[in-house]
Amino acid sequence: MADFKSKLKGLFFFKEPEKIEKFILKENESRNSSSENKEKDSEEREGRTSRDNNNKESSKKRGVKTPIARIKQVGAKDEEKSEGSDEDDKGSKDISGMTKVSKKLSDNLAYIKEKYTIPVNSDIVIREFNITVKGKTIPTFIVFIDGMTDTKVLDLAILQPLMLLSNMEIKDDDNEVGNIIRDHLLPHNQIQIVTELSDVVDDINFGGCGVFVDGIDKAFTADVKGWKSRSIERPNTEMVIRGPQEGFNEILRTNTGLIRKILKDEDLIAENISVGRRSKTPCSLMYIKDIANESLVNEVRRRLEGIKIDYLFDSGELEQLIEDNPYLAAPQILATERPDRVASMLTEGKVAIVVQGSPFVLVMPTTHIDLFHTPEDSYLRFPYANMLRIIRISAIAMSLLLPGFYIAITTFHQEMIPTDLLFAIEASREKVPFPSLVEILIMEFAFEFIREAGVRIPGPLGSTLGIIGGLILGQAAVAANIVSPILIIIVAVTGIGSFAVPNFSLGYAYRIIKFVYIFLAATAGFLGIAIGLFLQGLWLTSSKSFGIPFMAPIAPVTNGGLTDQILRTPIWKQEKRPDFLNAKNNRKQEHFSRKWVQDDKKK
Amino acid sequence: MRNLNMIIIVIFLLWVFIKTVSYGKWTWNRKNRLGAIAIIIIAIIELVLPIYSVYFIL
Amino acid sequence: MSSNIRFGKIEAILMLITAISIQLYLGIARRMVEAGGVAGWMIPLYTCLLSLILFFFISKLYKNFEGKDIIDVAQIAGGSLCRVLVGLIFIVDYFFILSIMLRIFGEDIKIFALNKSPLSFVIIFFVIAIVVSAYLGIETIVRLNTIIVPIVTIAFLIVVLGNVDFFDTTRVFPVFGAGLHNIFVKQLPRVSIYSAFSILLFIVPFIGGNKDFKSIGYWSLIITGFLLSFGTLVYILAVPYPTSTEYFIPYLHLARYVNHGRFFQRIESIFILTWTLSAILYLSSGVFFLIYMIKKTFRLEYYRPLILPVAIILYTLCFIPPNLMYIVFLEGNIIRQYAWIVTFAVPIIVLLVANIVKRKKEGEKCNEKI
Repeated sequence: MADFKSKLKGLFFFKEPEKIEKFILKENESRNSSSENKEKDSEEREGRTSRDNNNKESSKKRGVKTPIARIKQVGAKDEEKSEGSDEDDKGSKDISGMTKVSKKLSDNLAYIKEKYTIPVNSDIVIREFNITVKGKTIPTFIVFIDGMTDTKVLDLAILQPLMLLSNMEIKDDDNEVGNIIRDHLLPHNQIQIVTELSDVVDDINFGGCGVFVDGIDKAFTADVKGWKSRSIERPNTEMVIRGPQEGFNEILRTNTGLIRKILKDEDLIAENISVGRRSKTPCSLMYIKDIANESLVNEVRRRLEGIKIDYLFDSGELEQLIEDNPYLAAPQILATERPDRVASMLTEGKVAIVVQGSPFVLVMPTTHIDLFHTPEDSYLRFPYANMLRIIRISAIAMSLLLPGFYIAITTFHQEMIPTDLLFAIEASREKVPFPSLVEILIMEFAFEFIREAGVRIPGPLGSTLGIIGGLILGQAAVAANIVSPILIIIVAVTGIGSFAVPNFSLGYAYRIIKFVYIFLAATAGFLGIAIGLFLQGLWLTSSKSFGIPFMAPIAPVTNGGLTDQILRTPIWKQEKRPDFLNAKNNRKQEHFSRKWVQDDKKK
Repeated sequence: MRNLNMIIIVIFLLWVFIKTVSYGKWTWNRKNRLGAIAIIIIAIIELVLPIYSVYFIL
Repeated sequence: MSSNIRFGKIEAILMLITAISIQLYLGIARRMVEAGGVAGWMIPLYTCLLSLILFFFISKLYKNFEGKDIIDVAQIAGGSLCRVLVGLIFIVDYFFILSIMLRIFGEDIKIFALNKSPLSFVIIFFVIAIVVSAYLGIETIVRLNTIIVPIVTIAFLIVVLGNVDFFDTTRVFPVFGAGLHNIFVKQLPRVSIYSAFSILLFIVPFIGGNKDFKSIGYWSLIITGFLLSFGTLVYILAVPYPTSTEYFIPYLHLARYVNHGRFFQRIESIFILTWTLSAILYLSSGVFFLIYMIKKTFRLEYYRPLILPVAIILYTLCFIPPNLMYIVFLEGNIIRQYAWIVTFAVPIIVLLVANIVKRKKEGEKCNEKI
């Protein structure tokens, strides 16, 4: 009730707008100064949603960072959490109060059994055994989740050495059992020593294996991930003819490995951040340290750390949680399935986020023009690439405006149609009982139904339905005089144009906006379309994507930014990175990048 | 019919009037007397001018 | 309105060019022909020279007031009273001009596209676009301007090139048309065709420094003078003299003449798109600066609550003139004869007084030091 009252008050009375500082990408700020120099945004926003309030609050709490997931180190020798670790839980039988690994094996065992609700939870496996170290027999147990671990590695690298090799004589003067086990008895390439039980549980949940030894208040965790996953296949959504055919799969390390395989740069940083309180989905924030602007990286990190949800499933959800404008008619973050595309964007100074479990990698910031590019544009010679770009842009424009133009012309501006075409249209429209607007709406809706249904039909029937829907339904509709034949052509060309949009998120957006243009055109002809274009232009131009204006190289005209935006110049002329990204190092090629041409001339 | 349209328009004009006057009141409380008077004059004009022009001029 | 908004030089020049050369689509070609006969193309050039001289004075007097717009200068000149007075002059002037322009755009669209729709329906589209663009701010309007101006230029060039077949150079003779006295003396007040130039006085805080201010002023005046004169010349060459005074929207008819074979004819409806876009840009920037002026004159804090009242007042004002002839009279004989007072005379007077006051104050300071 109070909420309703305040809303009513806001509707009728003047409310002072909150002064929100939105993020603007400036040139080359260092990590320390970015938190101090927060300049006010150029516009004061009125009446923001609570999401922005949360952002504002999290920006106030800048000093307190949510814990970042550990970066896995090979053969870690240091203890991770060592504050007050000397408190002994030896005597406590109260398992629910346990936070640190106990020296008594039975306590640890009881904790694990309670935590995982064993034996109800049937795929958690506990294997108890004894090891012999320096003549002493020590009870031990390992715990892992069946189905997430590679049992061969487990047997070979954990169980066998512990059970069999511990009998061998170890030439080491150190009498500390823990050190002996770590240094000699666990020949696995990723072992960590932990003292907190929650860390052991986290590792087990993600395909690790916990080793508990009686008499030591530390546990060992080993990374023995071995789940079944899809192998690297062709990307589904972005197919090219000339170019690599590898696409991402769902495993985080595989994806980061694919990107690293292309870039081979030691300055490429892959920071680990986990999102989601319960799912603890690992995400990897990738950027090139001496190219990407630091304030951009800080802003992305700040937004990721400020997400407070339980479970995160896919990069699509992550995209919606960190984007600037949830209501904008175009996506502000690029999602791509191709590693080569991500690599080329990283070299321009952008930032990528890889999410465990999703084959789509998010790249930010994006401009509207970036959404029109395909990866093939750089692999082809520049005349072909430019021709493809021109065709693509006209296809996109037609997918948005063609139905609107048709309605405007046939309803308001008939004098524009050449006389012969006018006869043809008139003859075909004579028997149709509906006005143009209703015709087009019927056909557009039918087309959208066919598209949506075609996604769910399995296998070969899917393409058959497209043909059936297109030809027979359309032909039948014409024969029944429900629609005119010209309309079928218009709707078909519109549909084909919408498939030409390289970014499928933008394709969805334009499919929706097309209906708005149809209504505007039916209301006021070309005036309505002009107003629609103006309003859409205003909407897109006023929005930002991670601090850069969305229509960047065109709307605020930046220096030298147009070499690869609408039309592509030859590759030896693309010397500078886009200026609006404010990268640390603006030059990516020397002025004479083809030295052999220079040498030729000298002869 | 004309009167019915005018009722809807007058409701809209009243809403804008109330919002503008509340902004004027806020400005008055900020010790900007001249600005508040100007805002209230604008609000009164935008309420009165359409009604006057519809019934008397047009 | 914080000072974080910055325009580039090119963006400011393009905005001024749009604001002034929108008149090409309204009938300035016909007016020039009415005023000066077949020498009508000389009048924009001549008045451009005049306005360049006037701007020279303005820029010289502006040297001491870098980064301040005309309202701030009026504050320096005579305190709050002068500021409110100058502000009110500009506000009334802008209300008058913008409401008449809005009505003319609506009538023009009604003439050539939407004949049967009521005028209120046509104008409401413009008003919605204006309200949204004023809400989003001047930065967005200026950026959109940069995208739209090339498209509008290409449309204009298509019309010009399509009419090349109909050019007849004998239509320019007699060279001095209606007579030297009629052209150069009677048309002196025609410098008011550059009345939208007063926008430059308000964007001073958003551009960097006096050098940019001067170059923006000069370049925009030169380019628009050339454009208006070129547009009128094309019209004179394409349409013979007495007929050219009859067409209400000259460029509509020029667009109708474009005829290349059976396919490419009667394309004038396409130009509604480009002309509407540039018309809305002009109206948006005008209305934004009107609201900004109100905010600055009365030292208000936020401009957004004022958008709706001002839009409603404009919408009502544009229906008050009873018919199109009255509008034509208002636009041709009142605005284009007397607007130069507000655009050039008032700023020069204010700047003079402000300079004198500043020198007095500095003189007093020197006296105190001594």
